[in-house]
Amino acid sequence: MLSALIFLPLFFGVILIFVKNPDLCRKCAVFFAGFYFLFSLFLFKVFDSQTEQLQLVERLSWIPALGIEYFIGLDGLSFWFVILTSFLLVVCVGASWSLIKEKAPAFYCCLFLMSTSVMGTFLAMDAVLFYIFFESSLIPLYFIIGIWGGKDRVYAAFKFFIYTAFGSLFLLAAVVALMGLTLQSTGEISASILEFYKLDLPFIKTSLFSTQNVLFLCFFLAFAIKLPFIPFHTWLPLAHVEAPAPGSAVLAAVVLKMGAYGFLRFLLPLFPQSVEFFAPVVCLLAGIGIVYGAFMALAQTNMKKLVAYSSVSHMAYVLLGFFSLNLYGLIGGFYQMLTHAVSSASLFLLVGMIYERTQSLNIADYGGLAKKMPRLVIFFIITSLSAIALPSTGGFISEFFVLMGTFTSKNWWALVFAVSGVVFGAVYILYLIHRVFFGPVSELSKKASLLSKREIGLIFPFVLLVFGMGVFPGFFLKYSSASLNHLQNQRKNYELSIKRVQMDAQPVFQIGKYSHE
Amino acid sequence: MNDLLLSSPLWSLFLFSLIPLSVKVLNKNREVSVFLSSGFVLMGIFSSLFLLLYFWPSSGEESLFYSALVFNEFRALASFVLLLVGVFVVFMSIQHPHVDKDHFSETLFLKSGSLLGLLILLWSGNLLMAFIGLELASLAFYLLIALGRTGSSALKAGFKYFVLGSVASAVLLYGISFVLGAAGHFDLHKVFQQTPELMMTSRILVLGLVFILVGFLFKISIFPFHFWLPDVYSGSFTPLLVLMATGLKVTIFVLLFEWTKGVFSLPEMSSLLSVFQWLAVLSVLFGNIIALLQKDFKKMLLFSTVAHSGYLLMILISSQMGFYFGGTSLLYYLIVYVCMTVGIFICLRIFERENDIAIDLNRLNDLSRQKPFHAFLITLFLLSLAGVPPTGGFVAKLLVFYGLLDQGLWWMLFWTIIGSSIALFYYLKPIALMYMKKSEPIGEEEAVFFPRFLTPVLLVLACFILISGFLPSFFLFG
Repeated sequence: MLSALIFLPLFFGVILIFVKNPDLCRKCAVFFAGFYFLFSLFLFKVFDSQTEQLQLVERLSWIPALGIEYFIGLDGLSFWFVILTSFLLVVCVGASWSLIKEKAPAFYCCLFLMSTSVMGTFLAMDAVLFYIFFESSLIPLYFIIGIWGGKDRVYAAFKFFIYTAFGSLFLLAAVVALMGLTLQSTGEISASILEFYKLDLPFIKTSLFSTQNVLFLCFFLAFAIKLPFIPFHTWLPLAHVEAPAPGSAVLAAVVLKMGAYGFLRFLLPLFPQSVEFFAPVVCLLAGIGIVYGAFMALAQTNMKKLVAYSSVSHMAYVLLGFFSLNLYGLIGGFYQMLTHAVSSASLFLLVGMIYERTQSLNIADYGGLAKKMPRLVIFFIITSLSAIALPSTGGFISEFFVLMGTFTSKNWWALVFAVSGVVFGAVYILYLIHRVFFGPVSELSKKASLLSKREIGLIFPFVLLVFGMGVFPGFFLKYSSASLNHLQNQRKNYELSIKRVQMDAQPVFQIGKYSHE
Repeated sequence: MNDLLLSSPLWSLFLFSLIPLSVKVLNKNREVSVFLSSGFVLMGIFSSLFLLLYFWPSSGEESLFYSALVFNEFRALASFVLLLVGVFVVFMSIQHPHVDKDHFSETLFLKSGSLLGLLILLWSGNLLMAFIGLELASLAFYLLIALGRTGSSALKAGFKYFVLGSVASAVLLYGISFVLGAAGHFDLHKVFQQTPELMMTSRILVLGLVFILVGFLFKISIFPFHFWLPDVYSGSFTPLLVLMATGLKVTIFVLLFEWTKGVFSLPEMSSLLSVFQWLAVLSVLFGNIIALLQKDFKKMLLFSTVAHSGYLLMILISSQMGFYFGGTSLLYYLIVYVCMTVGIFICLRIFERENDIAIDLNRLNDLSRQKPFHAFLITLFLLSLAGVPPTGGFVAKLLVFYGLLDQGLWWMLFWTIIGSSIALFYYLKPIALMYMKKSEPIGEEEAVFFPRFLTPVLLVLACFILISGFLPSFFLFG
């Protein structure tokens, strides 16, 4: 089942690139993506939310000489991201319906390949497999930004690729080092994450460069660049501005989450002492990142850049939550990943819709758009409410938990920054809304036309999600709480076991059945 | 008799390569058919491949002619790769605009001669045989460079390579005589293994060793000995360039591996080891930095071979220090490297004109629109060279990393990471140009010719790159 989730998009993507007729290709892409999304919803049925164990495991020996396996599995940490990835695929395919006119088949192919690698990243339980998916997600996104992007697209794509690939080389080195350590401790080399969890990495309190700290820093660098975390964030605004709207949405909603997911999967459980060692510094930096992102957003004259900097600010909350090292923070950070995915993806799509009509991202060109596009403005305000964490939206729950976690961990400076960050967040978003949507109608705004039914259909699920996540957080956390609890309680010696299927339980898919009769 | 039989792969290669030449002479010095002559040489290569498989040394080491030639499984595998390089080179030469049509048979003969030289070098049991093999290959290279129809630069490049190469050979021979004087025999591996204390006591041996290393490292363009690359390569035609860049590397790395097997763990060798380590790191760094500065696509690829030599040297070092998968990794890297290099140079065929050797990067602009198939393949090969998954190049890089970490060489790993990041810049640049730059429409004269028979070769190479990335255990038999 999970293999199908990973490789179906690859299959679809390869089919799509051979569909020469753009119209047909579009329809096929929508059909495939819809099918894929419905398929991923099956997970609700087969996933057991009561346990933190790894489920639906598929395990094959792949490179036995180096202990590398094809090992995928699902647990509470990855569950929502899998759903999110398939959901985003549908939305992005829908959003590129009229936007992408040139080389449409190749674009859809890139989107589907992107889904494959992102899905693989979330499901891989073998570190090398994880790395392969993590790294190969760069290629489709590189092309999405570079071919269908704006004016400065080549430079943006370049910077994006180099920044993230540079970080992931350190990740590769650290993964290989961990493989070597499994060989030393058990006598058998393995790249499985479960084996890594069992390692007891040497840590010396007084030394900055103990084994655990060095590996921690390698991992941290890779994931912090992806997250992005100041001061490694400079690729993000550029990539966002130049990418086409669906590309931006995928980037913000899914790709950044890969970095954050890496923290959950690798850093927190693998390096417990190093995490404690570095937590105050990281929290402080995260706090600074929140305020810095907010101020940068306030200063932007480009709408997309503004949303991009708000991403920088919001993703710093995720890190702040994780490194406050208590359950509140962990839940808050986790929930922030989901709410940020929803709010930023929808904001990017909405900005993309405005851009499609007027061909300008410059805030100063706009004014009085509310008179021309009333529905879009309503949607925009609702999703941005989540971004500024108003109660009854998802953003409120997550930021509240993060702040509570920071309070409990007594990182006072970080708390001061984070709380003021919430206020500044409201400032830049409201200021944007004020400048773009209200006031006298500008020349450019006159060109704008109402949203089509397709566009409303695209945005409406996001609106539902914004409120749904705010009102029923229990539903969303239900699937992950066991894993998050486990991660918090077992932080010092984290271990993960594989859920054994009981004898009477039937496998989901079965090829060929043997009977004794 | 047994020796003759075992060495039959060498004989058959030589005998078949004589056929096109004699046919030409009998036919009043006129070329017969390009395909026919190439067919004979290909038959020679395939027959020697077949003989190689037939006499596969599955049971340890065989020594021929009083151990002048030594033949074991590792060397046989490397010969296999080398002969495959030969096949690709012959395929590439057919109808190549830089290959002189009036002297096609001669160039074919010289190419198989150089292949023969490389094989002898690969099988050589002592330094003297190695010298003979290397000289045979080099002499053929000097002539071949000068025979290319690459404009006025061909003669110049041939002469330059001749002068520099013969200096390197002289140094090598001088070193060999020193080793003979110090140790009493020509077998370097024996010197290392049986009398390592000579490294500490005999200055003559150390000096000779330095000379020998200079001679060999010159040929595989390890960092301080890479300066001849631009002059010589920019004058030589592409199939030859592939042969020099890949064939020499396969041979010399395998040979160095055989000579230094298990000796770097000896305490007497620590100075030699650190020299190797620094050379590897500097090659990776400088190769990548110089490649970054190039405006010409071919030159860029050539300087990147300096970096790849560095990575190969790293595998060599870690395997000789005790890395268990050393031999397998080295072969794997060599095979993948050969496929990537051959593949990308076959793709570049679409840009090659007679008497014009440079391929400016700007000519790649918007290639994805004009030649989507080739643009895609170039992208694939470049990503593999850069070591991005899911290609064979990634697994190769993983093996480099693993070897270094296995031996605890963190500092080398750090510089490797820096070097590979620099490499990303110039490997991505052509991709960006091909897919993301729009070019002004090009006139009729730019209509490109790409021989049809090369397409399946390309597809095979591309499939290999992908398969070796997806299923490396297929090749990692260790």
